[in-house]
Amino acid sequence: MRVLSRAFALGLVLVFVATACTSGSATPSPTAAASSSASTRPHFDLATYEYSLQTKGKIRIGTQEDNPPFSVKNPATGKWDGFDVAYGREIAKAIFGDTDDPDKYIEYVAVTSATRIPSLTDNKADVIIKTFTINDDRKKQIDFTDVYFKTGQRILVKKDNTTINEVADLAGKTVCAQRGSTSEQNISAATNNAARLLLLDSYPACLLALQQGQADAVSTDETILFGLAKQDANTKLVGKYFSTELYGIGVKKSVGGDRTGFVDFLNRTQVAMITNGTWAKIYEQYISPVSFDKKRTPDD
Amino acid sequence: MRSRPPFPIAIAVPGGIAFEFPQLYFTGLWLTIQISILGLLGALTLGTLVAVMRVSPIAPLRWIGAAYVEFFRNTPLVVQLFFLFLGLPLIGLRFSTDTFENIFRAAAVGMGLYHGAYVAEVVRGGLLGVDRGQIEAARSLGLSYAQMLRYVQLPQTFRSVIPPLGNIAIALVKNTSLASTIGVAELLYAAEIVESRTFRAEEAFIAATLLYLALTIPLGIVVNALERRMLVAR
Amino acid sequence: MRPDTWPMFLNPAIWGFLFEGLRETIYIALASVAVSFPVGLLVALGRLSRRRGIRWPSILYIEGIRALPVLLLIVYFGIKGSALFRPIFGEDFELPLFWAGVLGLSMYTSAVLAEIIRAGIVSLPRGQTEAARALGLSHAQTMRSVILPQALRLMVPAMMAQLTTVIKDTSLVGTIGVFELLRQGQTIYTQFFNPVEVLLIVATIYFIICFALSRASRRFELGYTPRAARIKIQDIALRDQAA
Repeated sequence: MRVLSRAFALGLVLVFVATACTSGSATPSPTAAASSSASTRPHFDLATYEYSLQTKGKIRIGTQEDNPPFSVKNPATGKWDGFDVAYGREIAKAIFGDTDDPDKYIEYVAVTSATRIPSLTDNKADVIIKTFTINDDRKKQIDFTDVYFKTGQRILVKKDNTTINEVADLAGKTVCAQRGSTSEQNISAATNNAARLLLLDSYPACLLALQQGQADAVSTDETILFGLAKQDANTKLVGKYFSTELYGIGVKKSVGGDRTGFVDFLNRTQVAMITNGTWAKIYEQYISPVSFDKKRTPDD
Repeated sequence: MRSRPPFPIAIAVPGGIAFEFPQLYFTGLWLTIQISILGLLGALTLGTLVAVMRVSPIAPLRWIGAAYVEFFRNTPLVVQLFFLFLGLPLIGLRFSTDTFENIFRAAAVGMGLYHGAYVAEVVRGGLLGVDRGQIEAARSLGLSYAQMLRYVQLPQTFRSVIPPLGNIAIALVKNTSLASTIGVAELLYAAEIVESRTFRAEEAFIAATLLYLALTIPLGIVVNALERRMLVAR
Repeated sequence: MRPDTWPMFLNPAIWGFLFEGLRETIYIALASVAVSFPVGLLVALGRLSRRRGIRWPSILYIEGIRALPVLLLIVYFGIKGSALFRPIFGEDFELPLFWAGVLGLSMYTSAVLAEIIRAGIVSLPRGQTEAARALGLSHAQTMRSVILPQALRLMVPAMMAQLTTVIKDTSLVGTIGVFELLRQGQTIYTQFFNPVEVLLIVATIYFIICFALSRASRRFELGYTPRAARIKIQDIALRDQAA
């Protein structure tokens, strides 16, 4: 695997060098680059990865098929939607310019938590936008952009519940979480082991337990709770964050210059999105309906 | 949340991690034992009953017995457990209002129902293996069907079925691990929790393994000894 | 019960979804059998070897694995599978959960099959081996041409019973995240909140397959099985019929 990626990187470098030598300059003039498309197309430095994407004509976005409200693929129509998907569409716009069909230049690659890093390192996807928590172990293998979404652990209860409002109220209550997750450890830590933990195989199973009254609450990352709340309108999220999860976009580490400038480009795009209100708009469209709040920046 | 292992225990003794998390492992062991015993008792009772039904002269009883055996042997235990835990409440049945009592009882009942089907087959084989002459003699001496069962057929059956029942018991103890899927804090559950907190998977699972062995090996020895003692032609 | 969700079952997409899971179930079962049969055969032969250096590890393997719950093996490989293979395949290696499940399930099944095969071999009359050796066949040739064909024929019903167990155990592989039949059913009933209906349907599908297999295995009793062998094999099956 390392041999292949090194060979690929070497190949790319040779191509860039060859292009640079034959064209005679490293910076394309405004009329020379991307000549045949609309004038709203941005212009990039020849050496950068976003330029190569623009030339290739598509960006491969890796995301998950069933992760509401961040990314869902409609099984009937095959169309993707969600916060992460919308964010990806903005990135595509930043590379390819405005188009009628936002998915025109996007190839979606379905990934799972297990395959997201390999799909980057194997060069099957250009970016991973999939509620990807930034941590040091992962930073050793791939690069992350700046935080594009901040979340944390919260609590899901039935809509008519009045006794549980904060994590401290979980003491003595039956709380459901996934066995072996960091969520259940956070609950124990935050309640000093006073919560009674019902640990099942998955969060949807926890939702069922909540509905039947076999659990008083479900607690995990807010984003997962959003998905559950969407399934059952008779539930609500309560409590402030009692742990913090920072999501970033995953990008393959630049080897031999094959991802030059890409992370910076993505960060710049993000700053622009926050400044011009696009981030807030996407948040309002996809997250607000289930979180009942509005945010203007990830740090709110 | 990494714990510092007390040097001599964790390194020197395989499974020493159990002493770092005694509550998890020994609660787990105790729950495993409880579910095993309750499940076994249930399976033996139910299985014997069904076996008697299957050899009875009353056709509907034979049918019901056969249906029970075929259904519970040909469906996965974990499906049955999920049904008892998440399905029954929707029909209005629950084993207990307290969730943890509920899952414990659901696990015990599930063990009993599932293994009861296997017990039924084994006991049925034993019943049919009792010499016909014995049965006929008993009946001709005036014993009722029930009396014949109780004093002649069943006692002789049990001698021959003890070894296979012992094997079912061993399988049952191992199958209690499935209770972890409905939230019961038994041994496998303990290993999974400890692994998620310490990332020491091998140690966590070896500790659980040793505790399972501590239950199944003595059972195996007893079964083998009984097999030799009760050399009944089967 | 949720009768209001019953119309959902008229939608072929739901059945398609379930049958995707069933397909995965069958793949898991086939892969596990494909892996566990040769391994089980090797270990069975090792168990019968005269050399202590081969016999003792084989005994350890068989008895050690049979003493464990199969779910424990599956969960362990689900957690640690990738890490185990990284020394061979490199630091980025991620073992697909499907193969982690197959690994756990085949490990367990191989130990059971090893015992079944050994019981079959041992139940053959000594005369067979003696005659073959007297005729000048080597140990390997005796095994390959005389003993194993007969033993394996005797083993067919027991192996088909084990196949039934394997199919039931694929439901355990769902707990590590593989989308087999039960897991697909869970996805459905956690969205539509009708576990009673869905679990009954899923149970029925398993029932149909396993029942058909057990009926078919009866027809496959090729040749006469000595009573002692049949009982021994039945006992092995009882002890290892994981859920």
